[in-house]
Amino acid sequence: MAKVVIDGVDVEFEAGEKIIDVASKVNNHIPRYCYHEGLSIVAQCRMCLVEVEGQRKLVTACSTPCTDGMKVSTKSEKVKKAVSGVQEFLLVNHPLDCPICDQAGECSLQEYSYKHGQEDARTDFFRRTYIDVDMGPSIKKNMNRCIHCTRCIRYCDEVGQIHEMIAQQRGNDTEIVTIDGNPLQTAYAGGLADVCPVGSLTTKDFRFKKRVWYLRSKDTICDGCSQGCNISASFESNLIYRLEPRKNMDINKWWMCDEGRYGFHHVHSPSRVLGPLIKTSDSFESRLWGDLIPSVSALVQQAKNISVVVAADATLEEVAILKTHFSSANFYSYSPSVEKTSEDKAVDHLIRRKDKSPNLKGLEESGLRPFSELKSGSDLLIFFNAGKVRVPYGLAKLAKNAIAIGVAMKEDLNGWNYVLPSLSTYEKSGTFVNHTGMKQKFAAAIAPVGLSRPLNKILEALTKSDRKVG
Amino acid sequence: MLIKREHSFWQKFYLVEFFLGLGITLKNWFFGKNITYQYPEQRRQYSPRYRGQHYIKSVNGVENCTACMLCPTVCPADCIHIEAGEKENKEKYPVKFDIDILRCCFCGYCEEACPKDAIKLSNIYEMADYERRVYDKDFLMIQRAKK
Repeated sequence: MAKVVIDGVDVEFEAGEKIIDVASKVNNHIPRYCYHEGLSIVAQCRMCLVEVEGQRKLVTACSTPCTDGMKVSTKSEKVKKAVSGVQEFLLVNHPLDCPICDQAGECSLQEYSYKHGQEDARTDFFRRTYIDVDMGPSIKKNMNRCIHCTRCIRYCDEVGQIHEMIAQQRGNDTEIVTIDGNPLQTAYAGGLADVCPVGSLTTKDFRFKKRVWYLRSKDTICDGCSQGCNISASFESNLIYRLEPRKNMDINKWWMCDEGRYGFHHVHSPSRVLGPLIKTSDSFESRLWGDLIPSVSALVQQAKNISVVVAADATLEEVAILKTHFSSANFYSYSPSVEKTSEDKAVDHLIRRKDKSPNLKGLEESGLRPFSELKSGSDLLIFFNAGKVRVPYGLAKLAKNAIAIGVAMKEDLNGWNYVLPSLSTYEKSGTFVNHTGMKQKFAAAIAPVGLSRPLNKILEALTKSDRKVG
Repeated sequence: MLIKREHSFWQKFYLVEFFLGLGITLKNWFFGKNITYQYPEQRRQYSPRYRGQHYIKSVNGVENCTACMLCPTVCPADCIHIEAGEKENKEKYPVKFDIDILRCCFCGYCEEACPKDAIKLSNIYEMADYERRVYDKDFLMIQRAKK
C-alpha cells in the first residue's frame, strides 16, 4: 500500500486522500478553518499550510492529495512562520470579545491562536465592524467575529441544499449574508453554529445559557424521528443545555436537523408532570408514590380487559417489561404521524423522516398492533410514552379507567385517572430500532428529573406490594 | 533536632532572669508606644491591595461586567452565581450577580480573572451582620458609589 511520510512517521493512505485527513490518522492535527470533512474543499483560509519536500512553495494540506513517497513536514520553521502569519492576519479585525462570545471555550480561533499565534498584536488601527441582520429564529449572527472561511455558505448549498447564504463585497469588506437579508429557510440551520469555527454564527436557543466549559456531554440517540441520528447531549447539574450531532456515516453523517436539535425542551418544561397525580372530582391532586400505588394496583388487578398503548418513543426493553407485566393485555403501538412503518418516508434529501417517533419499527418487530385497531370499551387503558410523543387528546375516553405512565404535560391530562411520571429518553438507557432496522443502544445522559421513576420500578411496585417505587 | 543550650551561671538561678524580664515588661508599660487603636473612632490604614468586600465597577451607571463567567469558574469557594442576559444597549450583561459572602474566602482570584475590570475587592472589612447576607448586583454596584 502507498505510504506518505508525515513528520517522519510513515502513514498508509488510499488514493485521493488529502494530507489533512491522513495526518489526523496519526493524531497529527493540522490547524484548519475552512476545511470540514463533510463539505467541499476551497483551501482559502491558508491555515493548513504544510511543506512538501521538492515543492518550492508551501501547499494546503486540505486540498493536496497524497502521493506515494511524499515527504510532508507540518512543523518546520517555514510552516510555523506561515501559520502564525495567517493567524495574525485573521486577528487583525477580530473583535476579541471572548467574554461575551458563546463560542469561547470551543473556538478554533482561540485554540489555534494559543498554539500557533503571536502574543501581541502589532496593529492598533480601528477594527472593521458590521451591522448585523437577523437570520431567522435559529441562528444569531455576529459578523464582526467572522473570519470568512465560507463554511456556512457551503453548508447551506451542500447540506441544506438551498442556496441562501452568500459573500457580499470583496476583500476586506467581505460580508456573509443571506440573500436579500431573508431569514434562513433550511431545516438544518442549527448546524451552521456547529460548522462555524468562530462565534460568528451561534444558536439563539443556547445563547448566553451556559459557558461551554461547564458542560459535560454524553452520547445518545435523537428521539425526534425514525432516522435515529447519533447525537450527544450537553448537560450540567442535571439540566440539558443543547444537543449536538455525532459523526455516524451510516445514519446522519455529521448533521442533524433543527427539529431534533431543539427537541429536548419537554424534558425541563415547567408544564411537565414531575410527581404522581390522581384525578379528583374536578382537578388533579399530587400524591406521593407510596400513597398512590395501592389504589392503582387495585385498579389494575380488578380490570379484566386491559389495553396497553405504547407510544413509539418507548425502548425495546420497556416494551418487554410491559409485556411481562400485562401478559394478558392487548398491545398497540402509537405514533402521532404514521400508523405503520410502511407509511414512513423521507421528508427531504437528507435525514428528516415522516414518522416523528424513534422506535415504531422496534415496536412492530415486538409484535405490537397498529393504533387503528384499538377499540373502545376495555376496562383499563394504560398509555406509556417518553415525552417526545405527547399524550394524545381523547385517548382516555376509550376505556372506563385510564392510566398514563411516562412524560405527560399538564395541559394533556384531561380524562386520565392516574398520571405516573416516568423517564424521558435522556434520563434512561435502552435500545431504539431506526427505520432501516438498525438497533442502536444508548445510555442515560442525566438522572431522573423530579419524582419520575423508571418503568420497571413502577410496575414492580404495582404487582408486588412489598416493593417500593423509591 | 534538639539543641542543647548552655546556661550561664546567673541564668541557672532563674530568679535573676525573671526580674530582668519583668523589667522589660515594666519598661514597655510605662514608656512604650501604645499599640491599641481606638476603633471605631481611630482606624488602621490598610494597604490599597487589601482584599475586603466586593464591588462591581460601573461606568456611567452601566456595570463593566459582561457575565463572562470567569469569576465563578475560578472561584475556589463556589460563591459567585451569575445569570447572563441581553438588553438593548448592552449585548451581554449579568441579570443576576450574587455573591454568597459567607462562603467567600477573599482569595481575590475573581478580581484577578476578570477581563473587564468589573469585580473588585475594596478596603471595607466591616461585614458583620445579623443575618446571612448574599450580596446581589444592586448592592454590589451601590457599594462602589459609597466608597
